Amino acid sequence: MRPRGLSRLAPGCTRGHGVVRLLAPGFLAVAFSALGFAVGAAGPVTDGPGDYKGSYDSPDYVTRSFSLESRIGKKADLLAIVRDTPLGLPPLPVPENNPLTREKVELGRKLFFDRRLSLNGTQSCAMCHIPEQGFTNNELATAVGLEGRDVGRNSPTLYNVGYKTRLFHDARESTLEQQAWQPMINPLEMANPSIGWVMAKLREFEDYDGLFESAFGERGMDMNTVAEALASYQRTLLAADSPFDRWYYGQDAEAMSESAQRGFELFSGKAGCSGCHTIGEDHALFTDEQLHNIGTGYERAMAPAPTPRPVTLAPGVFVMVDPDVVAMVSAPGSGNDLGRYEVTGDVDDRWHYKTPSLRNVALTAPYMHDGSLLTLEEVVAFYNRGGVPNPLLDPRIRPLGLSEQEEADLLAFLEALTGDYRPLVLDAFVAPIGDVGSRYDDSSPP
Amino acid sequence: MYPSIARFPKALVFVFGCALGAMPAAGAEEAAKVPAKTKEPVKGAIDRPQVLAPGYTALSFDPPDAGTYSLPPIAPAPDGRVLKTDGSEASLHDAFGDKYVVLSFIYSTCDDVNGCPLATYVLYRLYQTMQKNPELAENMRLLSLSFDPQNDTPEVMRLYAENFAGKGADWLFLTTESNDVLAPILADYGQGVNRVYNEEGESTGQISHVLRVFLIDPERRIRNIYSVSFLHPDLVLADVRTLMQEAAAGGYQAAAAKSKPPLRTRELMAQASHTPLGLPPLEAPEGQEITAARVDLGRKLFFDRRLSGNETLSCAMCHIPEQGFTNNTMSRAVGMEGQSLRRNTASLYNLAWQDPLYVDGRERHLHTLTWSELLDLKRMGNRSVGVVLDKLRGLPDYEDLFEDAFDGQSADMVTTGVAMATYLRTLVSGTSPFDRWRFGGEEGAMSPAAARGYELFTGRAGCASCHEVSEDHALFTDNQLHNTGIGWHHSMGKEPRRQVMELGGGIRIEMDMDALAGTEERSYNDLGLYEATQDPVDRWKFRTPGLRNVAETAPYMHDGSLPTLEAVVEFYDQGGFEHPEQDERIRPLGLSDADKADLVAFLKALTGDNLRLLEADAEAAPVGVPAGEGS
Repeated sequence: MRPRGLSRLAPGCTRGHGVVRLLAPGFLAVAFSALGFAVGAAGPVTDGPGDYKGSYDSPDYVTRSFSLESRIGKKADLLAIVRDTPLGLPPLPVPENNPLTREKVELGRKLFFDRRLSLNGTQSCAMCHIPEQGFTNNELATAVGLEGRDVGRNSPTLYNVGYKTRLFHDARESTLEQQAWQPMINPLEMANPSIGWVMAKLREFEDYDGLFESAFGERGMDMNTVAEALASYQRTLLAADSPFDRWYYGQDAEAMSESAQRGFELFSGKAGCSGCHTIGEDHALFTDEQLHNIGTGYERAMAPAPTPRPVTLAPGVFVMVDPDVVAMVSAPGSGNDLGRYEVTGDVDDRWHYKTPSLRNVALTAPYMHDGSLLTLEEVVAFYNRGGVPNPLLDPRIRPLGLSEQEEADLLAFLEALTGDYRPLVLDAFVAPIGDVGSRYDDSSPP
Repeated sequence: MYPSIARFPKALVFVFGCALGAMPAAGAEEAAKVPAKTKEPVKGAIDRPQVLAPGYTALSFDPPDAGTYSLPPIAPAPDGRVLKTDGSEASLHDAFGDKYVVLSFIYSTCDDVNGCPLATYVLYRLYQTMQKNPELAENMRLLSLSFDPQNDTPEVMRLYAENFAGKGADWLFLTTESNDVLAPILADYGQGVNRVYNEEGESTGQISHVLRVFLIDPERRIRNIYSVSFLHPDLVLADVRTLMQEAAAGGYQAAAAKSKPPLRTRELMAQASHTPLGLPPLEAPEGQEITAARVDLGRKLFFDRRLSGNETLSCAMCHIPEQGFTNNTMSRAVGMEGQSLRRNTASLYNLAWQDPLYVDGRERHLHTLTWSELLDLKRMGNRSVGVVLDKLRGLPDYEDLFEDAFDGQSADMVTTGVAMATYLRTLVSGTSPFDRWRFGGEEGAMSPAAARGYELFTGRAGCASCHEVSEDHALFTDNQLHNTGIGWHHSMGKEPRRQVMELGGGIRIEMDMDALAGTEERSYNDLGLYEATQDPVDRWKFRTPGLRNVAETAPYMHDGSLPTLEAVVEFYDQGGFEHPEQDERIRPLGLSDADKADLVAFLKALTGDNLRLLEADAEAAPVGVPAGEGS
């Protein structure tokens, strides 16, 4: 059963009521066909339908979560990717006091995939930043933390996160090192009782014996080195050299379709996208690292909540429930999401969220800070409408008057921003999940 | 009759015969030979016996090591208009070039060997040292400023300078346009000069003056003034190096603070290194050595309201120093913007020996606990680590404090946490009447009632089985978590319909709880250690608190539900709240009223002797935004 018009119901739907927004089953199938993924190709797989979902209510539901059996990893030389950054990316900034080393990256990856680093040993970083789902979660609008807790915002992708100078949707953090502990001790996310508790746990895990020492010398494990290792791994997740990059920076006229080329013209011209999703002379990060009000947050906060609302029971399985019933079983909401205001306390910052990069955007559905737009088509249509008018709307957001063909061209352009991400996904599969280890092809990296 | 340019070179040879002859050899031994040369009469020389100033010879003592002393700023170095050797005008300040400046007032025809020639000789020695030492060469500048503008024109100074021409070091020769321009400079520097006139009223060309050489720092402050008896290159160099070290350590104030911490800090450190009677030795974790800079920084952080999300709360606003480093007026703490917290504020005495931390034992280290507090949205309410660190890195009153305390490391999660932990660790308190009685052999230190109470405490009442007392010290805690029934009762017991409500500090009313329905946030059961371990056997287990200073830290229990020590004793006498998970040591005790009074008397004898000192130390810390920085 799939409610029609779900995406119209979506904004303003459930945040603050302890309920998780769900996504329309099947949307990914559309995305895949658009991307032309070869499903079931020989060799290690990073894309396509994941685990068997035959017993699900909804036969058209497609997940990209892989069963453990189908996760066959292959180590990548992440440091080499960083040294010679893929076409379209600038040199990677690395903090002076945390230079990248193989030991740190490997330790960071181990930590990233370690479910034991949560209160009840069930949740790792990678469970919201899922490698085969664009290092975000394609199946949830807003992230779900420990024991079903509502995190309230969409998981951001980690591709090219090393270039961000401001982290989180409200830009409240400035470095990956400083960011690392926060999901671990956030009661809604990994919910650890304290930093010291996690460190005490790590000291007891024999499989970490010597790893901090070999990565950090006599500093060993401390609050900083845990964070530095996690930051180091995430920093290596560079994905570019997309059709766009090869066309624009690589001067390969054939690399991008004509439709995408027209999309680029619109993107940097009539549609004004590149006003915030900036493109540079030698490289493009597709973000100005600033925060803007486009109206999604305003609508969610101010528009009346629809009744009844869809509630996800399991991926692809949901029911329509009256909000009063939801309230009876939910934790009290944390109130409206006010975006940047929650950090600055400045009323003019209400519903301002950070411009996300658009690299690999076809891999990172759903969209917006609250995951309220399920497909890139919806995103393009949203901007074509002029966002959601509100007193704090960024003046650059205005009706664009794009034709259907122009919308399709923009979409083609966005889909041409998918970089060479597969080695990163396969490399991620090498990391052991929980206590079941991992399967990977350990022939030396190419 | 003024000396003419024509005779200048001769005068130069004369005046600097001593210095120039000796200088290239540069050694103190050579310098010591100078008297022989001065005795070779040069035409016009004044024939009188000379005692040479110490600056010409080797020091008769070892100069103090740089950095072992401080040079408080004497005064701002005055400015003025001067002329360079190329005739161009400049300000004296510009001539300083933001370097360590040795400024000497001279005139080129001076014939007093212990006057200008001494100054120039010492500067020349410094010049040679600078040439060999790139760090000094880069940071030092020598200035010779003439106070005889009539004779010492820029051209004269240029010729004069040629005698010292060299590479790799900085020595400027300056003069002024006229006596009128010069006069205010001399007055400002206190450099008195008088022209010497002969009986006919003609100038002899000599200028009577007192030798003064100034050491000026890059912030243009005079830091030393040398006179003839202690102008010596070694002493000047030691001073310059001292100032350079001072700058590396964050400036005079910081360096001065470093060289001698404030008395109150030294008191805290003394207590930490020689713990009061009744406490074991204090061992800081590796890498977290207790230093004065860390204590001072930690204290500053502890009292700084700017460290909260909206800059209203500091740690000290729940852990109030004069209320036993807890809050005596509220059973449970109130956090950011009035949000109710679930538990009683813990006292901070003798935290150094506490492990685990928090009443539910969920934290293991003070430095990591710091971040739990800072990031808890209900407490200090910071939205991210970066919000706190960016703030600390930007606040001018924190400039260099982290770097000084942590060997050049700036504010990060570890340094911030360790600074806070270090201050907290110094809040030790012992030497109570009990300690003097039990460990100090003072029989009369504790009342007989308290002594009877101690017998009960360690005997029939069984308190000491958790609140441990050792042979040579007592922390009054086993650092374990137990279920006394308080938490269970709160979770599982039936709430009375009418309850005492706290309206504000100390203001309570009894009211019907139905009246509050719908006005409160839903409250959740407090499951104690279970919340960290997720193990059902850990439900309602809370940490055994130390009992030192317990008379100062009301109200009691993890939820502040018992207002007085009498109530606590009563609670244990009744056997806590009995239920299946209760610790088996909690059972009805059958204490008499007298027994209970004795136990309370004992508990009141656990108050340390230094609480006022800790309070006074805390009160001296600045609270909130320093004056003039309000926003």
